[in-house]
Amino acid sequence: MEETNLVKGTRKINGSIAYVEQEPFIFSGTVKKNILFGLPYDKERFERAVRAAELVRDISIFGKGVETTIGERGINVSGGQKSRISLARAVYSDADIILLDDPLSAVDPEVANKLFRNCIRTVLKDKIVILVTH
Amino acid sequence: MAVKAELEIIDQPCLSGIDFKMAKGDFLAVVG
Repeated sequence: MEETNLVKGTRKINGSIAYVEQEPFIFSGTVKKNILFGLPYDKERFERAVRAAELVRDISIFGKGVETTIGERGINVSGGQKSRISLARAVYSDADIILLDDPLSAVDPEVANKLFRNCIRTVLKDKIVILVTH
Repeated sequence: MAVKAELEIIDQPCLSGIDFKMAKGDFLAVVG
């Protein structure tokens, strides 16, 4: 958002930004650390983010729950799981502006519907949300 | 008092000149 030089026009950004990439960045570490992304842990906020991103079932299947290591030195997670971890990261960040680059493309239609209704249009209803899709 | 979050994009070539101003609670879907 502020990484390109303006050639014309204006751009005013008042607030913090969270960005969910089309190809989510997952580092080698626990599910928990990937969602917190450097922020301090708050149980209630964390559980809300996990629920919003439809990750409860996935985490229950992982051997060590949220302490399961994923990424290069851990277990492989699917594209849909990566996308939802990235979405949970954005929800947890509590940023004012949420940029979503096609986060629903990697998940099946049923999950996409849940994410759109329960997360994007409900949990994030008080945010400024831009959803890019095709 | 909390600062009001806003996003305003005006006259950007990459957005085909579409201007938008968003405030808390606004939702924009860009379908390509």
